[in-house]
Amino acid sequence: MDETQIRAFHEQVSEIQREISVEMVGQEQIVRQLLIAIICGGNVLLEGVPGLGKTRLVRTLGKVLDLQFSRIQFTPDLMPADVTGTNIIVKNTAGQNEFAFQKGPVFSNIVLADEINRATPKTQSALLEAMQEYTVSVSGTTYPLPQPFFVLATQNPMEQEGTYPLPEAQLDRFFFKLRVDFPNLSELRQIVEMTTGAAGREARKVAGGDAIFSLRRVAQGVPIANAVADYALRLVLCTHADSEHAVPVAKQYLRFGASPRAAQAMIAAARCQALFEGRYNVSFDDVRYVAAPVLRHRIVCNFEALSKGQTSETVIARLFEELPQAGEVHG
Amino acid sequence: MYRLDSYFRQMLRPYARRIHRRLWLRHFSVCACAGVGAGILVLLLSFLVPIGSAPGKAAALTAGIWLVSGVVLLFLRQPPERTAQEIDRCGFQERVQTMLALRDDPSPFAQLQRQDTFYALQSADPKQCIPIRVPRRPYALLGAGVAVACILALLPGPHDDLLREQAKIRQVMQEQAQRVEANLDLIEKDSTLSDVRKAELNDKLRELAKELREGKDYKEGMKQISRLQQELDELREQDSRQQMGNLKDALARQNETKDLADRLEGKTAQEAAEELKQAAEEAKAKSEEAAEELADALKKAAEGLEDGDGKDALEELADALESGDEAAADGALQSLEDAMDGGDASAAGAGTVQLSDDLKLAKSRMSQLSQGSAYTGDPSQLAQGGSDGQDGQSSQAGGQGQGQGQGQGQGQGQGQGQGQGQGQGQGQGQGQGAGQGQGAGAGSGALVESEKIYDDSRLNDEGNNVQVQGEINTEGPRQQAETESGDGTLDGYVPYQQVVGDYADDAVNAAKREQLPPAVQSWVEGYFSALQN
Repeated sequence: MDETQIRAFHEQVSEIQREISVEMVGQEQIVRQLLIAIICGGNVLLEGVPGLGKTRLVRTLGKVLDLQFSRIQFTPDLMPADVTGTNIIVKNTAGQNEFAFQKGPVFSNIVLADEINRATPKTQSALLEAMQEYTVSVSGTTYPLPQPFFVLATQNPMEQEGTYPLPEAQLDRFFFKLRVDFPNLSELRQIVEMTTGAAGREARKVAGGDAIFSLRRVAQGVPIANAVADYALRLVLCTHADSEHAVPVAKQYLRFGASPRAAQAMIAAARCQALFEGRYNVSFDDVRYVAAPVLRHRIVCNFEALSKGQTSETVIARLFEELPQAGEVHG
Repeated sequence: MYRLDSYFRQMLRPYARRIHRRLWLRHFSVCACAGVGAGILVLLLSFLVPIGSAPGKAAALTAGIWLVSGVVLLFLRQPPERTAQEIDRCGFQERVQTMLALRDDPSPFAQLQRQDTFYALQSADPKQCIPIRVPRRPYALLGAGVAVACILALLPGPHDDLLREQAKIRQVMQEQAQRVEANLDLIEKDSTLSDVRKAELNDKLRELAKELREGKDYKEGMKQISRLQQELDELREQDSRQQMGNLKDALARQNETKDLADRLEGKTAQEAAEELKQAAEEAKAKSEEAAEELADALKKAAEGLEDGDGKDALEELADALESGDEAAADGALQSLEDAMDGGDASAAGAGTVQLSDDLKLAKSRMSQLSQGSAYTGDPSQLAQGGSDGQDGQSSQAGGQGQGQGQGQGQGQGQGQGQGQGQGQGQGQGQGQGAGQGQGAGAGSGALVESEKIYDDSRLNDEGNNVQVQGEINTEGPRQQAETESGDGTLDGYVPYQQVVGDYADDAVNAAKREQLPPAVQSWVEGYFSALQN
């Protein structure tokens, strides 16, 4: 890694963002956080009401990054084999019948698991191995997934009837959980104009899989000061009510705290965010920027929090207030 | 690669300097408040206990704390990591502390990071990044504290009078120290003292002078003076005994005066003079020849004495007997008595006599000044009365707070015991010795040596056992003093009727000043009224 590569990072991601914006109106922060997760090699859970462009965003990303894209619409009757693939009987060249593995849609670089919470837990868990190990095991045979591999899952927070909430173990495997908000007036106007008017130009490919790996290597080299790293780690530890670092809000409202994966994700994402900001070191702001998407699906609120209308979002906001930065000087 | 150390220092110096100044202001405000607080504490304490020059001491303490803290804070540097963190808080997004952590890292990332940090530092203005503001709250508190201290310093203290008196006493103690030191030369020149005795006296004088000069303890100074006086008295008594022995031996060597010598055994100088006078009168009454024989014998005995006043007086007595001059004989007997008594220069040496006089003067001067002053630094009270000025008792009673005092006196001959003290207490006297028990000592625990007074209505009466007893309750210490016989002179003593009125006024005023309950005030007033009547 040389200086040129490091300096090229910012240009490359800017170009990717620019190209995505050709087909995606607004949602700049979601795009950035999605890119951060992809560069860091993490899976993302997108949460938002229908029609906000989640599927479009992922599809555009696949186009811009020139990666193979597949979409799985999760339904209650979806079977694991529908995701991973299965062995089927085929005739070989000699005319004999034999089992051949028919790859499922998971064998792709970017997998869009649409409305993942509508499938049964059995089917949801079919993604577990793929998300963590980047492999699929069928009938005793393990098949590697293409690299890079990302699962971008979506779920609808509104229609909860007939859904199967993702178990904590599976949630923890998502690098980020992003909340897709409703566009504002000007964004909505642009969306309407773009989709109902004359077709504009399509997003074009500006980077490939190799570029993703290159960006990842650069991001991994971003230095982080001890104080900042400590802050990120304390941010994770403070979510555990029984920890010595626990802050009052965690003691009051949290049932479970974030896992060590959260710490890994936070540091890696903060490094990447620093580069997005054109900086060569991680700051406290970077940590705070990525903390919410890292933590919001990893902490579990208790009954008191739910009864008082507290959500993981509000608890995280209070964590920032209550946890001092290292060397913070008042006055 | 950037030479980090030099660049680092150069780039960070203006920021670090401003941070240091800001920290200095912040920390100094706390220290300054602490200094003013200490000063106020001293001033408040001065309202409770007497502290000499309290405003000056409070100001000095405050200024000292300010100065020391100011200087110490100047050299107080925080670690570079801490400084870097503070600079980063000015919007540098943790660039500086990361640069500090990567100072030895040669990787491209570290170099880019340093470069980025340098640009950021260069493009920023340290004055805007790190504004130096005087912290309002601590300095407002400081101003208020100074104002309070000034007000306290200007308020009249309840112990001002006492402090003035103490200062006066200290000044007198200094003067007396000089007076005592002046005797060092006299002691050296005194030929009647041995070298060992001289050295001993000189040491004691130096110690006494030091004690007086330092002015730490008035009571101790008085004690030392008394001790030294006692030693001088003993010295004089030794000389007197020596003189008497010589005279007796000289008389015993003559057949005519052998009987006279036997009669002088165990007699004082005065009694010896009386015996000689009686012997002379007896000889005269017998015959002129007998008187001449006695005169010859006395002359021969005088030859056996060492040169001095004793020898001269004895020769004068012999001459007077020969010539039949009674007036000259009386004068010679008086001279002989003086010489034997060790009270003149010839007997005890000019140095010791001068020293004795000076000590008396010093003690008297200190006593006069200490009259009525509450010397609260020392909890004990010294009351002295009826000592060697009269045949009778000298009593010493001391106590603090509630206590019990007891004195005993015994008069002899014309004995007249008298004790005097100050304070409140109940006394019970028996016999002719007068005493006032010192039950409670002075209310303020004052150290007082009383004026020497006596009751002339009780002079020339038979001496009896005197018991002085004072009692407030049973918790206090018990003190007992043995009376001593004096020489019957009244030098320095004042009839108590002359002073009891003043004493009564002082006691009543003191009772009012101490804010005693009205019942106790009226009790004090009643007590002294009874004394006057």
